[in-house]
Amino acid sequence: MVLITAGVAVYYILPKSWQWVELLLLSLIFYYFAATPYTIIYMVISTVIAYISTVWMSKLKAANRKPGLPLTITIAALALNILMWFVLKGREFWLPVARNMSWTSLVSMRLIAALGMGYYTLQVLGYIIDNYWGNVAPQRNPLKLFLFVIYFPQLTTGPISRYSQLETLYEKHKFQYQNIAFGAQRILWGFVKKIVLAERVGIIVSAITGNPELYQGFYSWIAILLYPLQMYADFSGCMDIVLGVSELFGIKLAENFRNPFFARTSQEFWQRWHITLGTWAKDYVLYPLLKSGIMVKFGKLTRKKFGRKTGKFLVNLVGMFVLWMVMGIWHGGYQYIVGVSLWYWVVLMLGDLLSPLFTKITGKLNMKTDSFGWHFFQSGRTYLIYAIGATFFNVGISGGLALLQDAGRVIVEKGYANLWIFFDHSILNLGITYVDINIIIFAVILLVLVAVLREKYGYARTWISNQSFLFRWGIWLGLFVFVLIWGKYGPGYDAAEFIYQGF
Amino acid sequence: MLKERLKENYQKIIKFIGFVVFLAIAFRLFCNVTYLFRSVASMSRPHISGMKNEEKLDMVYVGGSAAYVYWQPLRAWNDCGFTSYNFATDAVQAENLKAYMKEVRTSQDPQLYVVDVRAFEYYGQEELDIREAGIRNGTDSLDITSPERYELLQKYFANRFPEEETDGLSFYLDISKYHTNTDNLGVELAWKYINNHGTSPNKGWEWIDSYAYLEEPEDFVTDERAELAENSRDLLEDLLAYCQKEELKVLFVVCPYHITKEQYAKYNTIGDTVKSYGFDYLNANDHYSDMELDFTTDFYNRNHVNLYGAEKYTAFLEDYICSNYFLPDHRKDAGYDSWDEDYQRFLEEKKGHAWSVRYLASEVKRGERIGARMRKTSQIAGWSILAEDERYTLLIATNGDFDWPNKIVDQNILAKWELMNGATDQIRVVSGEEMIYTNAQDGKKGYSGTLGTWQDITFHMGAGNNHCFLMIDDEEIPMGREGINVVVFDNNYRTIADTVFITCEDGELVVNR
Repeated sequence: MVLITAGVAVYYILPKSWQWVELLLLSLIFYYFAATPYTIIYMVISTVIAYISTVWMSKLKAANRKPGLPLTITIAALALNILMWFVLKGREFWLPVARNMSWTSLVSMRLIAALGMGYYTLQVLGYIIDNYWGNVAPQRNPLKLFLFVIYFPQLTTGPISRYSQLETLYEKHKFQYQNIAFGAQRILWGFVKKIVLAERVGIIVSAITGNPELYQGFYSWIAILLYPLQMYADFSGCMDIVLGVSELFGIKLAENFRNPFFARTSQEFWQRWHITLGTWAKDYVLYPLLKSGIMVKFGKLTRKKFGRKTGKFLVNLVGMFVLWMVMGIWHGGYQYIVGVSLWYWVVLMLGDLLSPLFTKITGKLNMKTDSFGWHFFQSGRTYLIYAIGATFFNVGISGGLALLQDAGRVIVEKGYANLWIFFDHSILNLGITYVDINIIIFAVILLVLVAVLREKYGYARTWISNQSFLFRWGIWLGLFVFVLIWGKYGPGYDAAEFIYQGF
Repeated sequence: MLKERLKENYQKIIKFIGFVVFLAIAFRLFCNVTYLFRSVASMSRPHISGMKNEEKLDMVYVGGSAAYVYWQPLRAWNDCGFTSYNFATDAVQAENLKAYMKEVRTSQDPQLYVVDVRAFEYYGQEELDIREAGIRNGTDSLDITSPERYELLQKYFANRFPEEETDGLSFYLDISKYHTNTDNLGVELAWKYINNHGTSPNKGWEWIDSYAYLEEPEDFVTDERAELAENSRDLLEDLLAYCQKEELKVLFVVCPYHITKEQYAKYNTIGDTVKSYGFDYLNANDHYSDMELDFTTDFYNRNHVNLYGAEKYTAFLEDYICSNYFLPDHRKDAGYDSWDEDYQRFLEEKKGHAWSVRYLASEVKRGERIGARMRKTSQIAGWSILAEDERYTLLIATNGDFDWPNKIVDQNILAKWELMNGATDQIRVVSGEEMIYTNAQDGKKGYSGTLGTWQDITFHMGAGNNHCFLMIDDEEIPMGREGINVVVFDNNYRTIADTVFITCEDGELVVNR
């Protein structure tokens, strides 16, 4: 916070043409304190690869020579970056192989990845591909390109920005009161989500998942259903802080969330949750794949053999499989492949397949599908589907299966439902108090309120900024005191730790 | 022209003013919430914040508990007529003292400062948590906006190299530590502190209703000079240089306590340094007889006097101050009536506290009678009732096998000590109803522990191979007779009250000496 406050003050005093240099310096200072400093070398290597490959490509294109070479350069540059990521972050995938092959020196090697490697690698890959496609011009100043890679607010948890979005980094930014006010407000709201809500919900979830033999039955349901809330409050709270900090410097980053729990289908959910990862995977993996020669041929073949509808479905099935596998692998572990990739691939494909049937059934039953009740049901169903996948995300494959199995017993096994835990105060054994429960409820109400305002007015703060100053000040000062008193911070807490910073 | 520009920028100016006002309100709220959540149980907090209520002080006593349980400002007022105050916090650290003097000077301009130098002697010997508490008692009592607070913390972190896991931020912004004290929201006193204004009606003096029996230390006076810790020396010199530069009148004192030769030697060094800067130095440990201090009645632990000791010390020091510093006598001056009223209330309060201390002293004294009766008793039932008083620690070791008594009453006595029939080489340490140690589970043949009110007397006992022994502070206590050997240690008097061996004769337990 001190770094940011001082950084912002200096930023607007400096000559405008030096602003990007300050951002680079701030990013380096941030990296020094937040990461293992020497790992910055991996970022430098990625930047050098991206710089050389794109500049070289651009020269080749300009000279109109060797038409096949840009593709080779692009593939090589992508492969090198992916390899680096795979060695450092994909340890879980290659370690068993290395053990089997008795590559002891590789197994015993202590590899530390660069901070935010998953995020910046995707950015670099996107930049190289965009250059190849001619969507952007290569950055001729390597330091400016390095700033695109290391820009500190988004380094640890994203969002995954496109180069075209972040070109604003090099522009001149005039001081605007609104940027400071909105940025600070967004940071404050991020703290409400992270240290008031997520940390509290996290206590409950961790207590249950940490002692599965002690907490069973409805406790399992509590853990399953609360984890998405914890993850959302944590991750989106972090995003609010990131976007708010960036806004202080006049740089608007891409949104990563848009009220995901309002989604009525899983497909819509993923258009609202971790948006920048989803769109990245679609733009750079799915669409190029579907347009590739092999998939076009495959499409023709399936359409010929199974008809137009089924053929299209099968092409989609394969394309989506690749897309979801990339998303799962990016998270860096098998539990994510199961919890994110396979689960969602199956759910979305089934949804695709059965959607006409559902429409028919609801039509026959004369259900009011435009009513609030039906929408609420759909959102609840989407939440539950996400919660099941997120269970693997939270406690791994075997832990997730055990938790889901135990929750299932509540439904199928007579006498297993321990409903009394909601009434005999045993919930308090989870490390929280009734005050904590009240605060969780209050924070969730705030969350819903803000979400509704966002759906209606774009941003809740836009609506607030149009209110009278007493009301506005009351809200922001109230939130400030709320965080100050009921935030989980201080000794014993690390408010700088976020669920999504490990990737 | 200017008017036009002002008109043009009117919205911007209003916005800027609004922004500044908003930040000011937010900061004010931050401070208020911080003060609201700070500990209300702290003895130190009212001493620091209560100073704001004082109008004009002639003397300020700066230090730790060696100030606020030693110096009675209201008594000094009644006796000499000068106004004084203890600006003192518990477990004070050497770093605090200069900051306290500077803080005092922001609201007062006393003619004399008395500085307790004990913190320079024990510098570096305290445990980490005591050290942290010592700093926090000051910094978590001062205003957030106090520059001295930040200076003190800077110095603390520079000198003490806190452990890596120490959350440094929580020292500077203590709300991050205390915001979990949500119970404070329901405490009236906490709300009274919302502007960090406390009250210390006795001018920084604290009643401590406690008593301990002590014997006057011997052979501690020496001409030797012991070296101070490097940081301690630097901090002392820094304080002295500050006082010299600001031309302050300061008396550096060591108040009386159960001092050792090593400590005295360090004070000699401190005294030399103080005098070399031209300041007065007074070690009250050289004046026990002048004070008529009686260690058997005037202390509540080795390091602190009780209120009787405090009265003697205050009387001694006020005489010294009156004869050397000529502070004004305000007793007949207008505007000092509240001091008289406070003194009358102080006297009323004193009655109750004096009674408590007297009662505690008589309770300790009762131990002498109990001990005498115990030593005369040979019947096990009567003896065990006396020996099981909480003031004693029983050191029990069995030598070889012993016959188990037939009488239920006797069996119950042994059962209370968890002695077992047929077991050999049993060791037990019992105090009152608490079993401090038994070797029934671990089967060990020896045990080491501590005794006495302050747990500062070491002992080692053992049993095995038809032999048992006991060493207390490296002195061997005879314990080798057959049967159950019991040494009764009086924790208050820190001496052995009785030594017996219990045997079983004709099925009954017998106490032998």
